Amino acid sequence: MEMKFEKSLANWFRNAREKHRSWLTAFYIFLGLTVVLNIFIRPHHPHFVYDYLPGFFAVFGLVAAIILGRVSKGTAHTFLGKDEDYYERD
Amino acid sequence: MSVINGFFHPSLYFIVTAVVLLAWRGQNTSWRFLLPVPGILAFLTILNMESGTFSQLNYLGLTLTLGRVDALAIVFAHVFALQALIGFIYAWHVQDKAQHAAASMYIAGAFGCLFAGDYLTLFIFWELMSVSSTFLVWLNRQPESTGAGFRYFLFHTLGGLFLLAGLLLRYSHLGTFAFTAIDPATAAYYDYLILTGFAVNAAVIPLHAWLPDAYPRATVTGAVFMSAFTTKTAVYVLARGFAGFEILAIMGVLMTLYGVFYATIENNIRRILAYHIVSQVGFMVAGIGIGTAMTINGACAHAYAHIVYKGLLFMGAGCVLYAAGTAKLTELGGLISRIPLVFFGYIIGAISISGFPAFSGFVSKTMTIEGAAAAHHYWLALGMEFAAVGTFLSVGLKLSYFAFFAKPESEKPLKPIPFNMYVAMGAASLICFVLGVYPKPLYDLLPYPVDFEPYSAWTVLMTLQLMGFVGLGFYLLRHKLKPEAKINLDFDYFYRLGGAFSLAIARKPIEVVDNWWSEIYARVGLRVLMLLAWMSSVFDKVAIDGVVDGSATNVQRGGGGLSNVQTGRLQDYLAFAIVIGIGVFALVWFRT
Repeated sequence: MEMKFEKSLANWFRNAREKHRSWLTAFYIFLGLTVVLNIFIRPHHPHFVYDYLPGFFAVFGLVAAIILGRVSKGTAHTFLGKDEDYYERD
Repeated sequence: MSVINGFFHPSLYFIVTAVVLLAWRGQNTSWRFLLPVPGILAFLTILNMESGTFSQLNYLGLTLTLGRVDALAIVFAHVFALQALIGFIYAWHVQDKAQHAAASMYIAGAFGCLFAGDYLTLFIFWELMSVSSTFLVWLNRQPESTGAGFRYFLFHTLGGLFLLAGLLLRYSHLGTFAFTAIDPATAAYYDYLILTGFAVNAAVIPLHAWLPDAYPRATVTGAVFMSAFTTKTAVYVLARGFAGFEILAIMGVLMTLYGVFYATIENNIRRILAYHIVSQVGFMVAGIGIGTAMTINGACAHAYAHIVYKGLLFMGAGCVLYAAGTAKLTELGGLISRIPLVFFGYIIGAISISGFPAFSGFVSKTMTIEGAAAAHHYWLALGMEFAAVGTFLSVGLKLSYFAFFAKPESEKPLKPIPFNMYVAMGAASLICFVLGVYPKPLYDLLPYPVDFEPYSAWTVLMTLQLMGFVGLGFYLLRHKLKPEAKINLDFDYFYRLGGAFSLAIARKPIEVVDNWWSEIYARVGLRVLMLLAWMSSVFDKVAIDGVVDGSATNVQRGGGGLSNVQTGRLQDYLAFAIVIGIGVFALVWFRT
């Protein structure tokens, strides 16, 4: 039973990977939908100054992710990253 | 004894389990049926527990309180018992009894800390946890684990010494060991010493580096236990003693950011998860530091949810390591259709930790962030929101993408995963989901009454929008974020520097003194010793042998036994010391 379930799950994922284009389109539609809905659904008590604006958290999420990715990778490349045997060497 | 008054200490179940496991002889492996038992018994005991003070014993003129029960202790005990059960199911296939015994003693220590009513009792169980968890690192039996275990142990010993110094100085000033809330306005230096000791275990930066150093080198199953108990016990003691300390609010938010920062660049999946412990514990520490009823509730709820989903993530990462033989993202990839069930369990943990609606992180993380905003700490709330973005970016997207996707289907030979590992992951996934859709039982456990509703059209939409656009950010950066076969410097660089420094001192001045002393000893001491030996041998021959015949042979035999014990390995001495310590402790307990 368990094996069968695992096999069909594996096949489902294999198929899904082949159709990644359609998944990507669905994802963009989903993103658009969250912003459109945001025009009608707003916070009752905004915490920060601008979060009553529709799409505030879309911008926040995207910008934060890019800043984090860029800054952390940049730091790793300039001075934090070392070879894996760094501490084993004398 | 302790059963009277309706309180039975849950640590006893685990201590008994550990003792039975160590005493078990023979090839027969039916001892494994014992493994789920202490977790189940502890859970039932905690469900029926009533608040109050129990199991007080007088020891050397001091009153030790082993059973202080209240709402704060119960919420942690509840999830500790649950995770002990899940962890032992996950570890069911492990043949090495020593690992189970170490895990059992470790959990016993954690329960002991939860119910400790005074600092001395707390200290005893605190050290028990530190020693037994060190074995979960060492028993991985890899060369790198030995070093990491020593660093882990030394650093926790240092933390323990801060705690000890603080509690003794506190006693000399106040005349009490009582473990109660400390008012931030009147806190003295000894309170800050205790706080430092606690901060080591809570992995507060910059005292955190032991965690990402040791956890990735622990056994596959040991890391699951360790992810649950050490830091959360520290969260509990901070909530008990140091609520409202502003420094904790700031350090907590810094921890949330620091953890996700490193998680974004790390290559080893278990180290990514270890950095996420730093980050998630940051949410709890911040909640405690802000110190309102809502944020302390949030910290406790988050600890509860976190123990389960972090355990689940470590179980998923452990399965990958177990099956593929490596935890490095650069060597993984394309595993999705090879181990789909592991992915399924992992992703449940990942969306729980990221705070997706309908999963457990959502009902606890929002409580802390909302609480921070309600207490007008907008910058702290914004920082935590930023950390939530990083959590989804690194654990939810980066790790799962590079381990399970990123490459064509993997051809790597995979070791079959034992069924019990799946059972444990299934149970944890179910708990994550049930807590997410029906948080009321969790909210009812919290120390303060809850006036908070996580679900509204706005909060759900906001979370989906935020996470969706983080997903977009990841998609755009996916080549930039590619993992590299590197390690990243952290504060353990300085610990190691300290280690190298003391080694240099040991090599140079101490060795010189030692040599000099050996010289004196050889020239003078040995002569005196020889003389004494000659005199006593004469005495022996003339007087003793006539009286107690055969005593010499007995001494020789005893010496042989002792030399077996003295193996010269620090690991063995530690284990031995713990066994003796527990024995003495148990004797004292049962005598009173």
